[in-house]
Amino acid sequence: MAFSIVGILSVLLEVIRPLLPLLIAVVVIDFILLLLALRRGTLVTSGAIRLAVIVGAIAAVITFFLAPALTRSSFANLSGALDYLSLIGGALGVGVLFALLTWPPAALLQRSQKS
Amino acid sequence: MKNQLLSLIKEQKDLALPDPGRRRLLQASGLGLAGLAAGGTLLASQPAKAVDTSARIVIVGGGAAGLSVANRLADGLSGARITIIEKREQHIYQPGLTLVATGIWNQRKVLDRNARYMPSGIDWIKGLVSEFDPESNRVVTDSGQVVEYDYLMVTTGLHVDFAAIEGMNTDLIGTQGIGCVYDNNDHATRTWQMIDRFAEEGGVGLFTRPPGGIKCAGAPLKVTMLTEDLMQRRGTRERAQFFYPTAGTGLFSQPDMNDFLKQEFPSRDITVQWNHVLAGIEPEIKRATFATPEGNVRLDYDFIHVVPPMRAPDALANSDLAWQAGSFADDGRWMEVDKHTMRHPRFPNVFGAGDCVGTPIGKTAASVKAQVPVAVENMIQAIQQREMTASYNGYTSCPLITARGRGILVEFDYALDMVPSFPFISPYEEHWVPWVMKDRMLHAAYNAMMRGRV
Ligand SMILES: Cc1cc2nc3c(=O)[nH]c(=O)nc-3n(C[C@H](O)[C@H](O)[C@H](O)COP(=O)(O)OP(=O)(O)OC[C@H]3O[C@@H](n4cnc5c(N)ncnc54)[C@H](O)[C@@H]3O)c2cc1C
Repeated sequence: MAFSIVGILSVLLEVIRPLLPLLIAVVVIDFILLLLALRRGTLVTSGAIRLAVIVGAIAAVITFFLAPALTRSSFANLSGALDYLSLIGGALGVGVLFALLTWPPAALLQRSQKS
Repeated sequence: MKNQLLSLIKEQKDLALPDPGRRRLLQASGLGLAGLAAGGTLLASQPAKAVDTSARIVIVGGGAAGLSVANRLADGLSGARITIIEKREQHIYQPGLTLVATGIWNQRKVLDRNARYMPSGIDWIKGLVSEFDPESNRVVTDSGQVVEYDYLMVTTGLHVDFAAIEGMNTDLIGTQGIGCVYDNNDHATRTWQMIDRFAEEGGVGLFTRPPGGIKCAGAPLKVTMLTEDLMQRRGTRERAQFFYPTAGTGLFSQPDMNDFLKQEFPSRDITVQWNHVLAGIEPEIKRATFATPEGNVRLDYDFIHVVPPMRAPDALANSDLAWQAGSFADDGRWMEVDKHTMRHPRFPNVFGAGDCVGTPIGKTAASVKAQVPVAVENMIQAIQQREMTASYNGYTSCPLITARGRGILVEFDYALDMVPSFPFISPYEEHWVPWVMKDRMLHAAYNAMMRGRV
C-alpha cells in the first residue's frame, strides 16, 4: 500500500492535531523572534549557534533515552538495525527541531548580553 | 508520459489494471493525471476535478468506511445529493480496543465523534436502515423513512453474533472471568479488569477464535499474547495455563505468519486446541462448551476471551444484496461484490466496502483504506457511464503485536503474498518499530483515512 508524500503529511497532521494550537503559537512566536534577530543582525553569531546546538544535542540525547519508555516499551524491545536507526533518526529529528526553535531566542539573548 | 503513468499505477498496489483495455481507457480519460501533477500516488485514483452530477447517492453506515466514502465522494463530485444514514453520534476507534482491553490504553483514547469527520454539504439521517430494496432503488429506515437513490454505497460493518453462543450476552463481559474486545470501549475496559485479575491470580485461561470471517482476525491472537506477556512481566506466568481453542486448523490466513505463530505459541507454553468451536458458556460455574469433531467438550476456566462468530447485519443479510449461495452466503450472508471492483454484480448501481462485504480476505481498517478509493472511483466512473478502472487487490494488514513493545507489521493481498508498504520493515520479524506505529501512528492514519486523505 503506497503512501504518497501528501498522504504521509496528512497522517502527521493528524498526529499533531491535538497540539496544533500550541504548536502554531510556538512557531509564530519563534518566527517573530527570528525576524527581530534578523533585523538586529545577530542571527548568525557563533554564540547563538552554539547555544542552539547544545540545546538540540541535549534534546536528542534525552529523546534517545526516553523514547522507548514514552512508547510504553523498553530498550529490551529494540532489536536490529531497523529499531536502533529509527530511534537514532527520531532523536536526531527532535534534536534538530529543538535547535531550530532555540536559535532565534538564543540570537536575541546574545544581542542583549553584548549591549 | 504513457510509461510514467503506467509505472505510477503499477507502484500503487491497490490499483491493479487487469486488462489492457482498461489501461487504454484510463489513459484516454486522463484519470490519474491529477495524481501525477500532485507528484504522488495519493491522488492518482481521484478524478482530476470534481465531476458534475445531480445523482442521488446514499451511503448506509457511517463508520470507518462510510465516513471515508462520504469525504471522497464530496471531494470528487459536484452537485450530487449525498445522504449518509448512521444512527451513532459516537465513533469508536476499534483497532485501539485491543490495547484498552490489555490495560495499555485508557478507553478515552478510542472515543471520538462522527461529526468531526462528516463533510459539509451532505445530509446525515440519524437512523438505521431496516430494509434494503435494490429492485426499487430505495432503503427504508427504522423510523419508516423511505430514502430513494440513484447510487448506493453499503458500509454497514458487521454484526458480532453473541447470541450464537448459548448463555452469552454482552452484559456478561467484565463479570465471571469473561472478556471480549469485540464490543465497545466500556466492555474493553471491563475486559481489562478481568485480565488484570487473571494475571494476578492465575488459573486456566481460554482464548477463543470462532469459525468464519471476523474483523481483525489478529485481535484474538494479540489479546492472548499480550496477556501472556503481562504475566511474564509481573512474574506470575507460572500461575496460569494458556489455551487457544480455535475453530479451524490454522492460526492465521497468511502462511508465513501461520508458521511463525505455530512455533511462537508452543514456545510460550500456549496450547492450541484445533477444531474447537465455542458453543455455550455457563458463567455461574465458569464452564465453556466447545463443539468438536469428536463431540462436545466442556472446559473449566478462570478467564475466557469470548470471540463470537460474525455476520452481516440483519437488514443486509436478509436482502437481495447478500450472497445468495456459496461460501460467503454460508459464512455470514455477507454482501455480494465483485472482489476487484467492489461493485454488486447483480445491481450495478450498488457498491460496498468495509467489513460487510464478502471478499476472500479483509475486514480490517487497513482493507477499508484500500477498498474505499476503489469503490468510490468506480462509482464515479459508473455515474459518468465509463468503464470502471480501479481494482482492489485484497490488501489487508495487521500489526501483529506479540508483546508490549514488539510486533510484526504484516501486510498481504488476495494471493497471500506479503506486500510491505515500507520495504525496510521486515514482515517476518518482530521489531519495536511496528509497535510504535500501532501505539502512536495508526490512529492518526485511520483519522486521515476517514477524512479521505489517504
Ligand atoms: C478489537 C478490534 C481490533 C481491531 N484491530 C484492527 C487493527 O489492528 N488494524 C486494522 O486495520 N483493523 C482493525 N480492526 C478492524 C476495523 O476496526 C474494522 O475493519 C473497521 O472499523 C471496518 O470499518 P466499517 O466502516 O466497515 O465498519 P464500522 O467501522 O464498524 O462501521 C459500521 C457503521 O455502520 C453502522 N451501521 C450498521 N448497520 C447499519 C444499518 N442497518 N443502517 C445504518 N447504519 C448501520 C454502524 O452504526 C457503524 O457506525 C479491529 C477491530 C476490532 C473490533
